[in-house]
Parts: sequence; structure tokens; C-alpha cells
Amino acid sequence: MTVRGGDILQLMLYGREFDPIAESNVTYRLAGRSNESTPTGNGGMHTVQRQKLGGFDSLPISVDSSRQDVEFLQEKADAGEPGACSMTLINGDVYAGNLTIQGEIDPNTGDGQVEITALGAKFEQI
Amino acid sequence: MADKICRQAAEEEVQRIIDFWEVDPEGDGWEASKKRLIFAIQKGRVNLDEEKKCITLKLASPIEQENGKVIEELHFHEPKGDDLEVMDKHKENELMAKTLHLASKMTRLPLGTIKRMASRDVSTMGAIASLFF
Repeated sequence: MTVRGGDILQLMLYGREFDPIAESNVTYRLAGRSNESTPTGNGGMHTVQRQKLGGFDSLPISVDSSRQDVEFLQEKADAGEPGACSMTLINGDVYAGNLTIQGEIDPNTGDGQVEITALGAKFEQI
Repeated sequence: MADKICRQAAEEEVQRIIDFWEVDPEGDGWEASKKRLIFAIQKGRVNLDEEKKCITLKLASPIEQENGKVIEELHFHEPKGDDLEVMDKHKENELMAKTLHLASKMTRLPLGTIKRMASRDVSTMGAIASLFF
């Protein structure tokens, strides 16, 4: 496969499709474990492993106020329950999982965008 | 594969689907879609689930996902206004792109998953989608 990066072709949050901003560079991660390693005094390694959630950080989406995009997302955040979210990347790969919206949902009037962070116990390529 | 349903029963099922959704498909495109739907119903692959308010398509070629799961059926729900808006996002001659995108909305599955359908199932899916546009 030659295409390794690019735009998000389709973004679905809680079953609704949103418009991802073109040319955005979004960080996403699989659920699993992360390691923190430090050296021991005698030259070995001391590793602490922790569970990590999967999902994506600060994904910018175009706000359509006529559809009440922000209100919809805030309602889902208020409920605090995970919902089906998926990202289809430009090369056709799909990452999906049940995610919960994190932090603040603060849209900007100037550029008409809002950044969404969502995490869940599972976020994987499907 | 032998037919599971006779042609007459399949035609009646198509009419039942039309009556349930209160749609009025027409035109040359619809005749081809109707033929495809009748064929799929005869094979036992398409049926109307009135309780769940959806059309179920049993895939001729199940979709194998990267995580090992297999999708064997798709459930098409009636599209809403903003689902149909996706038609405006594509150029007029991008009929397949429109159909795939609308199918993604109707099945609530990611576009990348819908794009993995085999051509037989894409044809049937297109016939189902054509009921609504």
C-alpha cells in the first residue's frame, strides 16, 4: 500500500457523521498498554506497565450549527456513556471503537471548528 | 444456488417494502434495481424487518474485518434528511461514491467497511438505496 497518510475520509461519532477538517494531523492510539522504563543501579531495567485507553486527540471537525453538532456532542458528553465512533482514513483503513468524549467541547466562531478528544477501552482497526 | 422464494412471492415482497416505506420509485434506473431486488429476495438474501424498521441484506460474500470479526448481514434503516445530504457532497457523475456513502449512513457502518463489499452485494445494496433516491 503506497498511501500512508492524509485526510480522514469519514468520521462517525455516536452514529452521526461529522465533517473532519482537511489536512488535519490527528493523533490516534490503540488501546493496550504503555511502558515506562528506567535503569536500575546495576545496569538493568525497571519497567512499569500501565493500561492505556484508545481513541484520538483534538480531532478538528467543521461545526454545522444548523444540525446542532455541538449540542449533539455535548449531550453525549453529558451522558458519559461510550458510543460507536469510527474513522475511515484516506487509504480505506477503518479504526473504530466505543469511545467517550473527553474534556471540553469549545467551538470557535472564527474558523467554525471544534476539536474533539474521545477515548475508550477499545479502539482498533476493523 | 437454488431459489428459496418463487418469483411471484419475491415481487410481492418488493411491493410490501415499497408500501412499508411509502416510497414511489420510478424510472429506468428503478426497473433495473427492482429486478436486482427480486433476484436477491428469491435467493433469500433480502427481507423487510418491520419490527426493526429496516431491510436486512444477508451478504453473498461476508466482510472479514481486520479484527477478525465477520459481518454477514447489513441492516438498512430509512435515511434521514442529513443522511441524504451526502448526495450533495459528491459530483453528479460519482454515482457509486454516492451509493456507498448513503449505504454507510443507512447501515451506520464506516465507509471503509462498506467499501469492502463484494460486487454482488454492492449491486443489491444499490437497489435497496435506490428506493429512497
